[in-house]
Amino acid sequence: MEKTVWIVRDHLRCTGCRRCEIVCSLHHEGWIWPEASRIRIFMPFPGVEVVHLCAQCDDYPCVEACPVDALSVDEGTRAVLVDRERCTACGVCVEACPGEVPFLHPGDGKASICDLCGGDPECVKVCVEAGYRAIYAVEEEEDVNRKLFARPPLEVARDIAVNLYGEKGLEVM
Amino acid sequence: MRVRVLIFGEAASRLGRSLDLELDEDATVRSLMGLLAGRVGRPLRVDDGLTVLVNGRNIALLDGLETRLRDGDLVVLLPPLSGG
Amino acid sequence: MPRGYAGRLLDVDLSEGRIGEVRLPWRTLEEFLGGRGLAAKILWDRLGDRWPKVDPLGPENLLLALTGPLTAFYPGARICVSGKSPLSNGVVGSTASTEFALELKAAGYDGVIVSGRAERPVYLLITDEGCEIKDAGHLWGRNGEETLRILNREVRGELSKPGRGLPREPGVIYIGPAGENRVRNAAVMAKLFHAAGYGGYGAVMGSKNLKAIAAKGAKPLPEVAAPETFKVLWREVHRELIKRDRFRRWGTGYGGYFVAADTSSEPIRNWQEEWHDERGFGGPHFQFKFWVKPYHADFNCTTSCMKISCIKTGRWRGDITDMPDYEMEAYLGPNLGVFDPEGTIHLSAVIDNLGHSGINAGNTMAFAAELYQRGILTEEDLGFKLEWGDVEAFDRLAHLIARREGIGDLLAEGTYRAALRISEWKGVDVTPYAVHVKGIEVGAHGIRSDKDYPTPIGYAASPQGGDHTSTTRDAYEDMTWSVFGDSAVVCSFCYHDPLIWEIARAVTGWDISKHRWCTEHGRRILTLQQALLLLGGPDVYWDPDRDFDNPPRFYEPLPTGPYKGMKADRETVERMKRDYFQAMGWDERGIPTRETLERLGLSYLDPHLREMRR
Repeated sequence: MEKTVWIVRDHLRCTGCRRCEIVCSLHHEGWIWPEASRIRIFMPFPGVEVVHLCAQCDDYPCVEACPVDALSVDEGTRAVLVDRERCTACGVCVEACPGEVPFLHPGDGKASICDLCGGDPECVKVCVEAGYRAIYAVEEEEDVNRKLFARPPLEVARDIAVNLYGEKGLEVM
Repeated sequence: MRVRVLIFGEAASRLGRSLDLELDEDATVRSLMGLLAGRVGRPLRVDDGLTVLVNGRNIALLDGLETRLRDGDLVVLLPPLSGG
Repeated sequence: MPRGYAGRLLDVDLSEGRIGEVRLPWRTLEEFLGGRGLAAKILWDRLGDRWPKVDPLGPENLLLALTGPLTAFYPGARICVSGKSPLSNGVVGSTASTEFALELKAAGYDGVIVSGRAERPVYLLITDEGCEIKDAGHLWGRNGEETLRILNREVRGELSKPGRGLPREPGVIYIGPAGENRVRNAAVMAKLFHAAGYGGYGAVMGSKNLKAIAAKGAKPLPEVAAPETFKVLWREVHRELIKRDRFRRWGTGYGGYFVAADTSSEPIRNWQEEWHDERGFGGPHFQFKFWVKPYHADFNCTTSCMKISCIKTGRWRGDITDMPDYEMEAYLGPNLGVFDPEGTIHLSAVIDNLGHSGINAGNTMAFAAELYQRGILTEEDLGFKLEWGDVEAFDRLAHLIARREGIGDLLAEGTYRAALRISEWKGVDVTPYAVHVKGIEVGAHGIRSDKDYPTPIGYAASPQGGDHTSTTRDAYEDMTWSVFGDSAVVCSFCYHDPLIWEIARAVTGWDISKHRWCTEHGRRILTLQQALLLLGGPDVYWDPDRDFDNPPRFYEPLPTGPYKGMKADRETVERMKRDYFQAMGWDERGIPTRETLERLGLSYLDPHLREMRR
């Protein structure tokens, strides 16, 4: 099988600086716009930072669900691409995702999903530069593990909270 | 002429916290710093974050290192800002 | 429109339940920038003519939460909280790191002005659609953890729209029980362990029945003057911050040992000493046992000086706090005679949850403990023994103060006012044991050894009194990381000279040079703050001949350590103070001169200060 790009994520190493969101929106929107960033850090409780972005499921349920064929899979990177002309902002892909990853853009309302910046993602550059490595890019063959990362952020947050704070973690979430 | 020099931070452990110095009539901050550097045994550089005040005025607002000193002046040397 | 700004402020009157918006003139923004500077200007404009009569805890006072033009653009986004201070009766710019600042700007607002007093507890919810006043009956009485948990869930539910994707949590500033009960030195809290601590603005929020302000914006950040230049400088400043390895590695969490053992300037047992060599209180004992997150940061920050601690076993299981940072380590550790990392972490978690300001409440509790040590306050007065190092006793005292129960009601007035009342009650002058300057309890950096950064007049001459983030150094550098940082509203730990000035120009398009700021804008702000401090009232007025001074304790010789015998020297303090005032264009007693007011465009202050001058 061919190697594809994937972003490794380790929530426990995320500081919550959200420079990933800054550079994502600079790249895709031309300006700093955290709510339009394709990578989103959820912070439901201090210290509990959830790195939330497309997991590139092996069966791509969002692409399957799109009623107007606005979503496709990039042949090289295997990222999900959104045809913004075709997208009708119906929200079906949002519902189809097992991880609640896609969202409708705060400006034009179109579906927004990480496109891996064509294979050289901006977000990982700043995270690695800062020495955090909460996210970094790898080139690996696709496998079934990836879909395991498509989990609702608040569910992931409960795990992280317990990891960080022990029993107290159950309480604060 | 006579000036008083107050020294704060690490440099004070070599120079003492307060010095009364007899200087030449044409003394400047630069010549004073040279004199003190001789006593410390290493250069004292303003661009290392050291602040120099002459009568409460930052030398950046006077003539920098060329600021002339006068009889009775109070010169204060402060270490870089830190804290938290 | 001015660049870097959203362009409008929310103007909320809680008495009338009225929500409005104001747009400030370009000129006002250019002169006062934002945050601390703009707060002083707004307060003067709205309350100046009757300042001495305004009760800081009355409905007339304003609670301001302001960003600045660099907020969210420059590393380390913060919010500046201000108003008439119930401690100094002047204006303090008090900042805290929080996503609230970003969310406010993303919702299209540069800040919030709150006046009046709600009949029942409320919170404000700010979104792109505007502001709503919402019931907070279910939040009143809740501690920090509960408040955050409930608000995050509630606001997320409110913003949820099917098929649009999961909304994220809001940015929130809030008060704990201490603020609700108007503890005079209570903090405005954020993110569980971040506090706008100096000034007592938690009490101001409490006096307005305002539990919290939550914001969630979805807009891009405002336009800037030179976006391409900004993008380049943004990457450059982060490259510089990432090099600050020592700070990133330890934050200030190693200070609890270092500042005592090395610079001999840490408060110990209410500043009776400033030196210890307790290695068990050193950084590694915090780091390896308790740090669960070694790098934690706020929006757009790579300094990541924050580290999160958690106690996972034993009687204090479940306590969560920051490292604690140096100030908390000192004030809730050695200053209470506690030299045990676990005890200090516990007290830090207690203080955060109650919404106390750790520095200020730690100062007040140590003041009480010294009075107990001297037999002035007794077990009968307190209801329990208050021995140095007794963590449970200080835990209990912190709760009593937050609830204003028993002796706590008196200590809730802050160290200075409590000292006045206890002196009267006991017939003994206890003010020599009150370590405050102009009502503001002094930060954990002493001046006696001369080895730490505050100068002999660092607190004595500062319009923010004991605030260790705004100490007086000279009439030039004071204007940089503290006055500029608090007015541009960015974190002083991300301050980088010269990049911050270059970024300021790229964002605003204004000709902001360090020189111009330090000689004109910054001095204008400090001079206005000094004027409002001098006007003071109604319960306290500062006497320039007596109160612009160090706490008496700093004139006592250090009793222990390598700098034993050293103390503040009165002659030096007087000379440096006189020189500083002169450099600021104030008279020898610290009252701004008419010429200075004219030069800074503050002539309107002159009639109010005229009588004070000799």
